[in-house]
Amino acid sequence: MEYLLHIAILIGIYTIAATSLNLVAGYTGLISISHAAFAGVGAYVTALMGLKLNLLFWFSLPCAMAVAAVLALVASIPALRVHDDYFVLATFALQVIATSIMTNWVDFTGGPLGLPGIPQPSIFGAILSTHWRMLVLVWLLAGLFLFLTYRLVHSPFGRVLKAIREDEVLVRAFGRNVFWFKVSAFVMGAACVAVSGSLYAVYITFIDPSSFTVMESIFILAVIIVGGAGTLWGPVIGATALVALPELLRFVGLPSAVAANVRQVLYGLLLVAMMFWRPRGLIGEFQFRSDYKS
Amino acid sequence: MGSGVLQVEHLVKTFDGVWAVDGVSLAVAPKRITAIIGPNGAGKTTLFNLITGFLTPDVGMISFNGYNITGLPPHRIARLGLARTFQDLRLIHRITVLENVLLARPSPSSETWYGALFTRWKRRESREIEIAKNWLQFVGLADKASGEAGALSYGQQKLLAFACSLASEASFLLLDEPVAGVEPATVERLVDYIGQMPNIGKTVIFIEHNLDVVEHLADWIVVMDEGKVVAEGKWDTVSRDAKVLEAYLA
Repeated sequence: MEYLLHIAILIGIYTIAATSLNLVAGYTGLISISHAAFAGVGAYVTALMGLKLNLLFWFSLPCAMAVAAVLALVASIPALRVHDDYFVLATFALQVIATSIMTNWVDFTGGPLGLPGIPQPSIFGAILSTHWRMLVLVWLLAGLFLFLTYRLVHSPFGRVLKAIREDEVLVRAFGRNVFWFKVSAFVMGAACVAVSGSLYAVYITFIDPSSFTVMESIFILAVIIVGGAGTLWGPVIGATALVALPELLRFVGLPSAVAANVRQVLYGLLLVAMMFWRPRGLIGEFQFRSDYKS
Repeated sequence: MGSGVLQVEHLVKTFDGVWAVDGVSLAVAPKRITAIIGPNGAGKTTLFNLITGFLTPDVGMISFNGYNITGLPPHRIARLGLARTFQDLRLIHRITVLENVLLARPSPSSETWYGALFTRWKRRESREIEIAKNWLQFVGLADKASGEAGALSYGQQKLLAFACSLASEASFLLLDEPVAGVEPATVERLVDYIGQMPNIGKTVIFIEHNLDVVEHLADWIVVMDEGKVVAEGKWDTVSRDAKVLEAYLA
């Protein structure tokens, strides 16, 4: 039972991460591979505030969001000056810098050894076991972010984001400052993914830089590609598929050394297959592989 | 030349040594229809891109309603009331026809993440939808409002792009080949609509190769060739000008 709860919690955490990237990449068309870096910011802020200042999760969570938002704002001003492939490269650079800070600023982040013993949030404390408590918390927040995304993308603001994804020249001709719309989306995405990082930190109670590398960023991107970028439920479906499917491999009876590698191979195959046969994802609307526009 | 709403002075734009626009000066009178004609590569679209801020001139000045708009970014120029359409017909294909027109409406201050999440934008939006539908009605696309813009025929997409420039409430429309590639029945409709613009207080400047349309619509014609204005005047004068005939026949 605890194992199933564990999977459900992880799916919830990845749903939040993918929902936030969906706003940036799926709806606005900004393919960012620095999302794990902002999850890491959230995780480290929450962990450090809990460990060193003994602050409650409910206080450190908004702080984590704020710190991630400010860093995203600072980073996006140069990064969003460039377009398309160059933007992907800029976010990659951002990710590399973030990983390197997490690894090397040993006094603050614990370096490669990470931060153990992160206090868990004390809500519904007396009533629920740790796993149930986390499950409710994670999915409440996932539901909240899905609702906020729904509200955003069905508003006039969201209409502009979707238009930018298709033709930003036209949006400029319509009198919109495209740059600031992109910055808004990127900053919101960072603040939201910081929450998934925070949840991860307080759930596992241990973090180290290996959880927030570029591979993790690409995994989050894979989640929305598989699920369907630019749809509300795509991230939920993608997170379920990519978190749960490899777990099924455990029961096939492969030796564990082989299983880990098979999992990586499966991810790769799945991504390639999706790009060929369902570039819009399982339920997708927007495809990254554009074959209709000059 | 008197003072126009749009004043272009000695505009120069070069690309790698090619003088795409080479010292163009223009004054566009308000509530008139001005046509820009000339062979391909004459610099007509480059001139539009300079006026609307998509390109920055190397030399020269552009003023609109007395403001110097030289070097302003496109969205600022659009907000001052200069709307444009594109030769390569730009629309957002994957949203509805109505949503395209809504996008073209002036940007409200509530169009931010904060406004989307924490303000009641719905009432304002329903008013916007009314206005947008009226413009779709005007160009005869009301029945297509809820369909995807990408599903429209080419002629209908041109009508939609025109409706968008109207919905922007700009006082000044720059139309880049509004009837090119459109079937004759739709050309007639577009000509009719554009002809009505001065009556509703709008100034039009358009690029067009279809000289019948130019003769029919334009109060003033500017002829460009190799980046320069080689002639301008009313149709009767321009159509007899030796340099114009040369530019077109050469």
